[in-house]
Amino acid sequence: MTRVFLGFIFLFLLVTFPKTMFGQTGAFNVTGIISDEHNFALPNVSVLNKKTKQVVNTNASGGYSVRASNGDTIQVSSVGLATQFFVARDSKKRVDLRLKEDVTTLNTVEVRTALGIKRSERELGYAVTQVNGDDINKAKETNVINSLAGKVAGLVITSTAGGPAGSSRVVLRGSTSITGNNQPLYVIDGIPMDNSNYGQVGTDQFGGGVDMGDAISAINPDDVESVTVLKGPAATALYGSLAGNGVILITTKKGANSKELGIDFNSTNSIETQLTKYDDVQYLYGQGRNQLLPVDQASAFNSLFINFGPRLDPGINLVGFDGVSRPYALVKDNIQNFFRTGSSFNNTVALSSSTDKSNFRFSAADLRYKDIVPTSDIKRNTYTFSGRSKFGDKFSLDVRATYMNEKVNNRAGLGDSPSNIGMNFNGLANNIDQELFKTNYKTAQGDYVDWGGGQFRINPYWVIQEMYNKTTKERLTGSLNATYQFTKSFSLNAKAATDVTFLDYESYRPKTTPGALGGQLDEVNQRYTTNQVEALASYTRQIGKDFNISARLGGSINNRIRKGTTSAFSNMIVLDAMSASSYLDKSVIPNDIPRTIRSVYGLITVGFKKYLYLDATVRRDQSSTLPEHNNTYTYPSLSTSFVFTDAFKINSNILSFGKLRASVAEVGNDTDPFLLDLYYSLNQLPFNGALNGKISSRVIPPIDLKPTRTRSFEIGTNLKFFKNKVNFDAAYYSSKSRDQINIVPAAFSSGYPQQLINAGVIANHGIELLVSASPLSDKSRIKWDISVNFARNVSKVVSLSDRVGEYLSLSEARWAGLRVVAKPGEQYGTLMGYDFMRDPDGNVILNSTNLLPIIDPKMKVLGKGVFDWTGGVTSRISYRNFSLNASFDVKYGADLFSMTNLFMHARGSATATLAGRDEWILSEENRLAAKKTAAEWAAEGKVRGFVPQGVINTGTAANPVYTANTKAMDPTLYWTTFATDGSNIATPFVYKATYVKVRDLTFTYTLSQALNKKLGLKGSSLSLVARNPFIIYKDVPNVDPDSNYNNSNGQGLEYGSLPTRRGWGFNLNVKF
Amino acid sequence: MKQKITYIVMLLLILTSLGCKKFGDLNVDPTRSSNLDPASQLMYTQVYFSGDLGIQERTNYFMLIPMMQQFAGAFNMSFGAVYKKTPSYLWRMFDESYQNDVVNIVDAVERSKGVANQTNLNAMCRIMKVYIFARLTDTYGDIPYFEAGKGSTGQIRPKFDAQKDIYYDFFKELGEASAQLNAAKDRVPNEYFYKGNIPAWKKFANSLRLRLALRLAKRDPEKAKAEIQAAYAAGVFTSNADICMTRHENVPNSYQDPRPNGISAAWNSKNEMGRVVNTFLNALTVTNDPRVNHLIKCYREFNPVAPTRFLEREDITAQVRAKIGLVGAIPGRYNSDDILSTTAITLANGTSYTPRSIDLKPQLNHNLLRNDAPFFHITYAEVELLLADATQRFGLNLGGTAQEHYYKGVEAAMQQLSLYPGGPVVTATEINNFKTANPLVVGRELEQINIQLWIALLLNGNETYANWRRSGFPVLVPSPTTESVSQTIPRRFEYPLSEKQQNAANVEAAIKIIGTDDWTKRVWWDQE
Repeated sequence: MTRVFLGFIFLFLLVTFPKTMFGQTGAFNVTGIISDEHNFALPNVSVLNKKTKQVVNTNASGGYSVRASNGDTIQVSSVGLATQFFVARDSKKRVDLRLKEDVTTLNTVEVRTALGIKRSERELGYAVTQVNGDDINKAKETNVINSLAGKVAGLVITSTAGGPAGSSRVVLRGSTSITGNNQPLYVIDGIPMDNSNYGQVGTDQFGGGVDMGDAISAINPDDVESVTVLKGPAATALYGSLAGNGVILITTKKGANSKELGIDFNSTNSIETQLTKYDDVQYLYGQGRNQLLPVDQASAFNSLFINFGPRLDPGINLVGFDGVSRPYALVKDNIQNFFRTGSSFNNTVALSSSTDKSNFRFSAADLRYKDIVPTSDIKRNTYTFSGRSKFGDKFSLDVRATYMNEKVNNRAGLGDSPSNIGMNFNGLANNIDQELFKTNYKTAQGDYVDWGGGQFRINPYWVIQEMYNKTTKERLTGSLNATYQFTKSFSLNAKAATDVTFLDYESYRPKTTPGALGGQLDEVNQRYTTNQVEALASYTRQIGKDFNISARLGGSINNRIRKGTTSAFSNMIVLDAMSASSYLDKSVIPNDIPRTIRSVYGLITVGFKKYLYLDATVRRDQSSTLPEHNNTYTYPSLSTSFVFTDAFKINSNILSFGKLRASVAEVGNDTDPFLLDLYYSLNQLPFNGALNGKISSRVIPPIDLKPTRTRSFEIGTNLKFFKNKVNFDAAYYSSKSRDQINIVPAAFSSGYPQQLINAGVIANHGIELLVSASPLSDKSRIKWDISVNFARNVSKVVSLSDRVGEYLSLSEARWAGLRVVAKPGEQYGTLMGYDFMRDPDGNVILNSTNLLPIIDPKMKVLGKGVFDWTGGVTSRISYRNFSLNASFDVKYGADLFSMTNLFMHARGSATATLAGRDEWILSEENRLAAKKTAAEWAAEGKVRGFVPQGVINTGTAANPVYTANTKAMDPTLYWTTFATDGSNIATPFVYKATYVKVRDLTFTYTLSQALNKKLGLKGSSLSLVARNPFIIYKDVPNVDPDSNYNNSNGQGLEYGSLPTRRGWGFNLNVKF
Repeated sequence: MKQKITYIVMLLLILTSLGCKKFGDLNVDPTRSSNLDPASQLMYTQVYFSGDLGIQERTNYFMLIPMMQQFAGAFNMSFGAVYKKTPSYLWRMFDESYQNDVVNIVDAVERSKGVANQTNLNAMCRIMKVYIFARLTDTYGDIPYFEAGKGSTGQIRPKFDAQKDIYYDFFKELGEASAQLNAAKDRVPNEYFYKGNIPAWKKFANSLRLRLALRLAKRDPEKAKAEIQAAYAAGVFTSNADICMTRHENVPNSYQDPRPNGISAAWNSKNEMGRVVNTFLNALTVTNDPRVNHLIKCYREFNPVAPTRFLEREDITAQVRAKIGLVGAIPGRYNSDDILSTTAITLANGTSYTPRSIDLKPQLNHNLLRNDAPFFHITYAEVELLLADATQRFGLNLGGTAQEHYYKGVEAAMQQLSLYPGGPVVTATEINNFKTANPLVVGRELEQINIQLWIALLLNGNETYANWRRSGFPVLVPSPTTESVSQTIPRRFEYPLSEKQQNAANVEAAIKIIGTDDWTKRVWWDQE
């Protein structure tokens, strides 16, 4: 595949750059430095040769070089600064300019909107936010999307506990679908990208597995020019059903340097350590139950993860789980030393060049990441090529191609997976060092040795040293984009794009591994293909002096195909060849899943006197996944923008700019393929010599199905004060989705676990605020830019279908008795679980005989998995050549059910379990000395120990009288009651997931132009960078609040999370 | 200009072509069938019934075998042993069975109904359907039956049917299906129970009818009598060759692979396996039952236990018996509460070894727990013992006296052990000695017969539990502890949360009839 890719690039270069490669006559280079009024170099200033239309941007030191002939007009412009012109003369090839601030031009910031149309921000009737590539490519995340955390109002990014190779959940303005995909569409240089999750941890009972990542992680941060976030349906209506949850437009860098080959080298290297550690652990007591030491090897084996023993005492020698005697002494941090210090090396070289007719950019990136989990690593190479060429005056062609190759070893098992390391060590007795398992995990014959974790918790050393999983992804994307400008006002654009990903996943479990005793090899081999063709005709015309009209009409076909096999090979016969041919039982299940959407769309924009704008769009989609009679749906949008400061000619020193905007839109959506019919298939493994089969559909086919509709409304304003030093943007929106196509649970007695229906209405409303300012005076040598964003979104489930029960489970931790649900009248993502039985005053009722809290059999709302509000602060301070950037991410108000903490309590590791232990030990010693039975001791009222807080019914069942409890009990019995299979009291382990995090911190030194020159460079900088360096505030002990085990809609569950990672390192950027 | 028009025409052509209505077969899965042979589904349900580890482990190993005081002592059997209510274990069979075997057998019955060359297949499916639903209703009581498993036809919330109505339909179905079987008609050669043997299927249907008829002995004795006689007249099992069983395969088990025996896999994969409970051990020793020597073993356990090699453990029963005898688990106590010790013994290779407590606690002969152990659905022994019960209870003439049926049942039960690969062979002498020493004693006949059923049904927890509830024998002394949720032995399983959420109105109507959905309530036929 690499060869195909390189050949493709070479061909393009030959066709479009013959002159660049073999020289050019008649023209010369104009070079110079562009600076501001204070003589500070200005990077990213656009220098345009108006004749040739060649555009170059100044580099970090303000330098530019543009190709020109005598008499060409050169335009130098930058946002917020007055545009200047000069005429090129070969007698004066060096032109340095100082640009002045210009209030009027600042109001014409251009952003990319739907279909890649560049428009002035003032024209837009909806909210967009643009993030510059420079803000994200220093402290690089392995998944580029994580860099946006905290930077865009209303964009909520949650990375899973899967770590750097895992996927991320990205939600804009809340969830619009109850059970479907709520993530935005990614559009890379105008081409929609399939951001399929390649597989993630199950969302239902016994959910476990690995997170195979998502497609967006393939983007190299160094290739990103800018990221534009289009939030509401009005902004995205033209992208159709795929964009119902917003669009993230990624514009990649183009060749825009000089005729000479520009070389840009960017390198970020860091070490990776644990950001979160177990921080709420008791260190006084060790292994055992009921404050008793294990009596023999068998009971030592059974209590390896129980810390309800007596006080630790190095003087005691204890027979261990393996028969070896060791001191009963504290081993501090006995779990976290399992993890290593990881590293990350991230290097990109980019080559670019441009002429008046053509430009190109080629980049090669290499990423090597060693995770803190031993044996886990990522290697990724990305090659990106983009080029643009004009043939004659009217025809231009853009080409873009990317090839990515990624290898990930040993993705971490998450959630309920028996190989989840985070879970498996949980509760390890204080006197046991994890190192012990490093060598004794297998027998001399190589058999797995049970270490006390049983079938569902495999020894982590077996997991990392004997088992393995490997993922290889190869991805090739290519697009051709041709435009023909017929006349000044009429143009036709056609695009064709393909995006192919080959995914190969292999997971090996040797013989004797619990759950795969005969040995097992699982393979997933899939090809994901997206092909899109698109045509767009545009017509723009100025009518009279005041009106500007443009109309666009387009159509597209989007094909997505997933094809491949999922295989399971079990019962290994040949033990030294980890290949499918070594197994007795082979099950290979093919899949071939196509889907097509055909669309036509139109857009009309009317501008009046450059202060009033009106947009109207309409789009019709036809989807192959819906029933034939319902497969076509049409939806419109309307938006308007009114720049009142221009309309009313307000021009004060305080209010420099003011705009009001409003929009309404509707979007339709379809469902997944093959859900309309019932299917059967054969099971793959013969039994008694013959194959059997069954109904393979797990979802009851719908009787009738309509497309989902989401209708939304938005108003907003953008105000700028004090000569644009302060920028304020606010938006209020509301949206309602009806006829939701949901796969929802069914009564099992119907024979199916799920059904597909049009069910329910979900409503979102919220506000978004953005304030950015440059508070220091223009004369100050120190520059400070600060930006604060805030968003509040409320997703309310208005109704569900009558075919659904009282609520709908989105995700379950059922063995722990808690689930995340959609329940009418409640916020989307409500946590439902079991609470204590309580008296009318809310006190916990205890069982009068055993003092254990009584469970209320009715499930209650215990919290919600979505945040009340989110926000972020980014700050940039610069002084001379130094700058300091920091970004903070704030999330407030969600709840997290932490099963890590539940088990730490049930296993006696948490500090809360210390209460009453000494008293209980003394009480038991006294009882034994008095030769009394437990019952006699209790009858005499002499039991001391843990006094559960709560009340006891001293009346009758019919006429209860609640009296505060004063009796004591064995703390072991009390705490272990919270970990029964099926229905736990979950309340004590629902924590606030609120946090304040520093996402990234970069301290940069930019070399002066003079120094660069001396070194023969065009520009360079060195930065110290930190990724996720601190959690400033959190409520949940022991784990990172950002620890969901999958990125599904059911957020709010945490189970045996691995520590999250922090990176410290440096970034070097050199331009030749 | 001409060129411009050409382009516009081309664009319009593209746009209109986008509007065409049909996608053809794009939304039809090319990798799956829309019309699979119903015989495949019958076969799936045959292997799933006993091969599903999830059901067998939760229902049988965790709950019913320890609850019936046969084997326990291991921590992992304490849920049933001391009535620790663990809802997900009670729910498992309901949740899994409906969405796996029920939906398929209901669909297979419907699709083969009235199809000319599938009359035998249809009859077999009807019999299998009764068998599957019987396990469910015996465990939970009133359940969705007539409307169950029909989600794809729009029946998304089946109503719960009274157990009486379900049972009456069982008898009707079994009678009709037995009559419908015809050796001259279609063959179903691959099915796993009898390889398509039609007379054997007839006997299976009638034997199942006999079993279900006995359930009603106290609640509805007239119906019971009529059905017993009808079943007997139609022909029931007459030898161990008739036993209905699934011959499982010798592959390691996982939750996804039903080929090995689920109860075996649940049991032999535990590092602490269940130990014989004194209740069961005493029942064998008090009658000098030869099976005590064949079934109850002490093994030198690996250190730690290696589940894949459990068959390689050394049998040290003789040495342990010589030292301390057989010391079973005490009801309601853990193995670790009751540490045994002894002095050194001599192993087979002549070395000296001091057994640990885990070596000394006797357990089940591990040859009965191999992954390829057959699962007995209905045995000839059970049929004879049921005939003995019916003869004794109702004075019916069923081809012999109660004593004769009892002897035949006991003999068959002892002989069926040899059907396990590597299983024990109880000799004719041993059997005769037992019979001679243990004839039916006047006044204790039903107790003796049903204690023999309790022994013969070992490893089939659901059936053991059902027969204990209907007969009242053996008399088990409840063994609650401080961990117990119930002080008495539970009488049914509770409805799952999933059903309460998705089928609320119907499940509430069913609960109203029994008062509360509690495991101490009784199913309809369970008369005090």
